[in-house]
Amino acid sequence: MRLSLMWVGASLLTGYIGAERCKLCHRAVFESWQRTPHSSTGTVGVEAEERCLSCHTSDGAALRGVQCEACHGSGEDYWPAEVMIDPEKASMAGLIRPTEATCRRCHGSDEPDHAREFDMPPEAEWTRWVHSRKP
Amino acid sequence: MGPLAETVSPPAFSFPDNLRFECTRCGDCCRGWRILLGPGELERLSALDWNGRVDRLVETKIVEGVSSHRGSHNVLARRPDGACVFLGAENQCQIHEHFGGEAKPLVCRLFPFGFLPVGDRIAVDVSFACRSISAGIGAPVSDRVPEWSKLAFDVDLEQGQRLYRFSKKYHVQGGLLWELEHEILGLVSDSSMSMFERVRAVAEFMRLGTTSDPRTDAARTLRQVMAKGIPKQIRERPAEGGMDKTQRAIFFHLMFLLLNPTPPELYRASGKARQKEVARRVQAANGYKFGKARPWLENRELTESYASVDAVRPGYLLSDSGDRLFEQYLSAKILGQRFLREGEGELPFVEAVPRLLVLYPMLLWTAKALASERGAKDVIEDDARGALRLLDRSYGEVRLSELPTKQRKAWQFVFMETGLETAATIDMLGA
Repeated sequence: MRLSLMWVGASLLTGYIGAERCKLCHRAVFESWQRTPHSSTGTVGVEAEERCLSCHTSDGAALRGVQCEACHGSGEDYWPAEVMIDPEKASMAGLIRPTEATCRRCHGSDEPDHAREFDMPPEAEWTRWVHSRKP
Repeated sequence: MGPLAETVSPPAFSFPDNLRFECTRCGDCCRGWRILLGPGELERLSALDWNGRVDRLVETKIVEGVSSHRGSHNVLARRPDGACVFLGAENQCQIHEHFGGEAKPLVCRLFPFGFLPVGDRIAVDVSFACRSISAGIGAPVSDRVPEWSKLAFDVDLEQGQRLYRFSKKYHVQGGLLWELEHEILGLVSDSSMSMFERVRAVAEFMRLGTTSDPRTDAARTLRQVMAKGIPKQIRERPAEGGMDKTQRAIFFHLMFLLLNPTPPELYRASGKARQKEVARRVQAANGYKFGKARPWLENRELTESYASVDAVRPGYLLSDSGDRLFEQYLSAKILGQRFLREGEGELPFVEAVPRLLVLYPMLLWTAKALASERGAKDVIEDDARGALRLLDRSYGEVRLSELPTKQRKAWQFVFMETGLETAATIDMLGA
């Protein structure tokens, strides 16, 4: 089956809220993410096979690019400020703190069409490829 | 049907569904309890004429005055063996026999149920200390609703509008207390989790979801998110570790008080005899530390050691039916708010729930002790039901306020800060 990748802002049915919502509080992180290739992975080609969507979208369907929730988990429950303010509460509400294993879900794939440039960068360069961190 | 049942016409009663009751005339509820009299009941009982009916009651003192920090109360007098003065030779109530059931104090007419007005409805407390309730025999509890509707006229419904203690800092209206209880009930009845996971989920909910003023919208959002998120996460995170030395001391101390409530003879004993008995009990309560010590149940020493109780497998209590049984029990305690009471006082909600959750590892241990006494290696349903009866008998009567200051602080710290419910359950499931 072939699906069209469409930007719909947020995928309401799956509990994903979209990067635009995250930006309301995490503006600097959002802007640095926008400068990375992750923000545009879903814009390459207007059509893709279903198996591509797990890495080229955030929710496996509609959210374009590798947005915040692709690595941090769907934000439907943890986005309210009274939850996000406490790391433990946010974690219980589904916020994931990504590890190398999170990256390897896509970067370890043996997809034949993908060249070696999609391999994992060295650890020292991760921040540059994903987003900046809070000082 | 869900875990709760509610009547349609006012006043609405809320009670745990699927419980059964039929009085077996065992007389347990007429022995050892302190029966508080309501407004006007002292006068009504004093007016009963026993001449020509029961001679021994003509000159007998039928009411005693007791005082607590909330003031003085009248309670039914007890015989030297701890039984109610009105209890007859064959476990029949003399008031009921000679003047009809209506003449009895409200508490006696209601038992094993109790009415607690909360907001605009009446929560029904169900006592598992009753043999029929704990054994699950008789007609469905819902059959009692017509009778309750009549008795509700004797209840002061205005009480439901009072404020309840949420924590040291905040008080909440009955409606919000109701909401909080239902959030916890939702976790307790979530059958996608094992009972151990449910206990952990409630403990986490209390720790993370009740940190701010509960009346605000932000706190409500937080609670809703926690109630939804915690069950998802808790299944993925295995619990580790068991009780440390301090936790073990508190756990067994509390369990000893619940399983072996002080008999009235002890209060009446004097001098050396009393000291000797108290020392024996303290030693028994601390016996878990020593390999050869024997636990006590219902004020008697078992022939089994603590080690042999530990070796019994939880069996039935790990099955779906075992989970459902404890779910019914917890729901009854939550709806009946037994967990909010400490003697005649009131515990803050945030302190009461952790104490309520410790009843799960206590159930595990007590059921194992009963199985061990039968010489069995696995807990069966009868052990679990028997254990709930023993546990419920004095739950809510064990007052922190009466402990020595140092001990009280240790208890409070362990309950509030150390996750005793989880640590103890891991130990009790460990066999």
